[in-house]
Amino acid sequence: MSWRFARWTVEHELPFGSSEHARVGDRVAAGATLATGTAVRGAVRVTGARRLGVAPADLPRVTRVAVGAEVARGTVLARTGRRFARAVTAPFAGRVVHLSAEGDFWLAPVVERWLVRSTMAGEVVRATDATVVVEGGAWSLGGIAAYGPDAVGGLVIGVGGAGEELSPHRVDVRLRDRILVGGARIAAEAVTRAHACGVAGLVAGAVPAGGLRTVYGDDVAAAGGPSREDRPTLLCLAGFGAGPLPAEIFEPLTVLAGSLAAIHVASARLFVFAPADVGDLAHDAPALVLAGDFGSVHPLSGPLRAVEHARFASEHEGPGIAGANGTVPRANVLPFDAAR
Amino acid sequence: MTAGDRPPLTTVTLEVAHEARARRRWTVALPEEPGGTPELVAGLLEFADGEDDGGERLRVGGGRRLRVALLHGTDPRVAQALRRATLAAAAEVVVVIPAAPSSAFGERADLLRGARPDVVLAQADERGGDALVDLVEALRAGCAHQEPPPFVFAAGASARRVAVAADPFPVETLGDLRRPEALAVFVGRLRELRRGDDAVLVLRDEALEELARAVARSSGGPALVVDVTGGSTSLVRADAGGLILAAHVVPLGTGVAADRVVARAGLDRVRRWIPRAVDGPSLLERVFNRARWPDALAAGLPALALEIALAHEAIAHALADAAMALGAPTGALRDAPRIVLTGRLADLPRAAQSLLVALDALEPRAVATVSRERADGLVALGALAARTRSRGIGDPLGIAPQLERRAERLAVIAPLATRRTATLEVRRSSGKVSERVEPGTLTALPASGPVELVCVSPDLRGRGEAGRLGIVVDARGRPLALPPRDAERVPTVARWFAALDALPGGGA
Repeated sequence: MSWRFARWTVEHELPFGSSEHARVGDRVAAGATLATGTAVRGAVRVTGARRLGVAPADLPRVTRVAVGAEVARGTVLARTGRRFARAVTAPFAGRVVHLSAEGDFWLAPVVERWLVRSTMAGEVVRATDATVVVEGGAWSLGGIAAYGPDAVGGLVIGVGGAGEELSPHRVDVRLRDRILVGGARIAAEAVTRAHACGVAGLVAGAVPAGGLRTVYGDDVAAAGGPSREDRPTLLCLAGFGAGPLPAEIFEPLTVLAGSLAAIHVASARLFVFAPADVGDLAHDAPALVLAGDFGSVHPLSGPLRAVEHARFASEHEGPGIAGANGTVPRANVLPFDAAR
Repeated sequence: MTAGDRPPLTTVTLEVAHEARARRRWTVALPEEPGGTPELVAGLLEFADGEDDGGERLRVGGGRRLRVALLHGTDPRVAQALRRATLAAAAEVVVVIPAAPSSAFGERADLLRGARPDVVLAQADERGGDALVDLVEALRAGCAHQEPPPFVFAAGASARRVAVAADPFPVETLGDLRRPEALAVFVGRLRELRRGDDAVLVLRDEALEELARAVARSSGGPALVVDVTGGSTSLVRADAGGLILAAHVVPLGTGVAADRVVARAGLDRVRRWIPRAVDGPSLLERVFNRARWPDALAAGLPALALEIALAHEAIAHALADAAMALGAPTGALRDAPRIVLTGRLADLPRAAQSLLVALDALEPRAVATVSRERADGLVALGALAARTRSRGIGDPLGIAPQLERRAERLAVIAPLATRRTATLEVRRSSGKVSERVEPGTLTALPASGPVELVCVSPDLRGRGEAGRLGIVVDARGRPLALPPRDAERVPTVARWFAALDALPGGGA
């Protein structure tokens, strides 16, 4: 089953340098701030235990600030003695980012701040300086790859039908902070225009791989992955090139249009925050078949028959699946929501 | 005792896993005598969503994918040793950070956090110890909350200091990885981690190494196994004494790691092996779709041409990695008189396709007999040998008599780097013939059985076993040069395909 309403556990990874984050048990809305921190650039080591004349293991006992704390220039980081005191002070304003095993402080100037927003509405079930996990209920649909940072916004349909390509002309600033659904394909021009117009994220059956390189750089991988830079957010549901969406996938999107939605890039998943009884949306989608030249993906519908042995144009042989448009290798047919 | 009185044959199932759902199930007859050699009986391609008979089984696969971070000192020999260790252990290197004195503590911590390494391998010489400890501090800061925490292998002179700095992560200290003993210990430990608790798993790289040993033993000389799968590429050389030189590059392959090949080689270098004009964006779409479609079969000619092109570059890059990490010239790999092709490379529809990939990518420099496995049979045999070795019962090389049955002999290759017309003398038991070889040509000469090839200028001499494609004389020169412009490149590559009848429809 492709669309389904369920309780989902969504993990949000935090960059290094977290200052504060949500606590276990907190209720958060989709788009709410889960954590804030500072980018740690140009950290320097401040000699600690050796200057104080204590063993590294004893340094925490005489330390006056917690790791992660912001300090002003001259702040005493650690101090020993009363009458003949020895102290370690911060040489500049910044954050204490680490205490080493050899008893030194690592201090970094605050040059940039970051925040991480939730892509799920629900309760925080785990929280550390590296991860905040939120559990909640939502409609969800998995894709094969996603790119860019996580995104949250109202769901808007940008095409007239599942087989259409999203035209750049349909993208304008009125779609700012929305998640825009394309059809079978979104070209790089539409992606960059959407980003320039402030569109939060894009969802489509397929995207051209060459366009991904244009937008995300030459090192973009097929599996995608989250990034923190200011880039468009894109969820690819079926494949690359062209991928018309089956009605079982596209029609629920039209029903859910207007609801708050989120794209969680690490899991390549779209969440839509609508009531469970919004409609009868949970239908089995037809399987997807990879074209013989690997250039596109399309739904496999109609009566199908397993063929034990087939020979294909490439002269490869193997089990196949016969349909109205001929026989395709069995390996090239996957359920819509197959694990990859 | 008559045949009817014999106890029933005991069999087990051996599955050779492909990328995801696909697997080849071999029925293996167990020996009746203790210490005997198990024998492959029959193999069948299946998909994992099929019925499971629940019987006793072995499985050949890649095991747990280990993400490795390499932290090393400034000594290039240490960096090389660490690379060598990860190549030998088939681990995926996700980040490499040299431990130079630097203030980039936060950047490194962030990098390591994002890399999420399962294993960290750290070594520096005595002078680089301080910088390495700083790097390990960055690791501890960045991955403090990682679940499970990274396993740290601290090697060499600074191992104890690194172990202290890495606390509370699990740490194991090793000797200097430039020494073979420490390398062997590390590879063994990493393989244990990859196997985990899976008692029925035989790692594919172990199977390939045993296969190479068995081929070398049976042929009486060095042998090279070239394995290209959807997600990995391996080059394993064994000499007759069983000494192994191995590079298992993960992820790099023609399937789920197809996009990694393009990322490393560049789209144009993949495209240059395709004997037809194809635009870059279309090719990239095919690569990305293939990478997200485990086990996909190239049903059409464009997809087959892509698979062949990817195999070319995967092998070429594995060879380059091996040269860099092993610190040895690639001649040791290229000059093996016996070459065996396995995995997806051996599964190509035509024998000539497998041979052409090996010829172009390896660029052998000596006379060699090239074979390819049939239906994962050689990898399965290698797995049986690996199992026998790990259990310490019987002779792992006892599989050697079964090798011929599970392989298809392709050709004897004669690389002739010549700028003038040369004369190649082909000696057989029935007599000898001389063949004129024009520079720049690729020719298949019909022959079968044992042959001896002799050329005076350029000097080439060697023996081999001609196979289905006879003797393939490669006078295209070394290194193999491809014209940069499509208008010249496409006809050139198409001519090579046509010379061996390697593509349906004549190539172009």
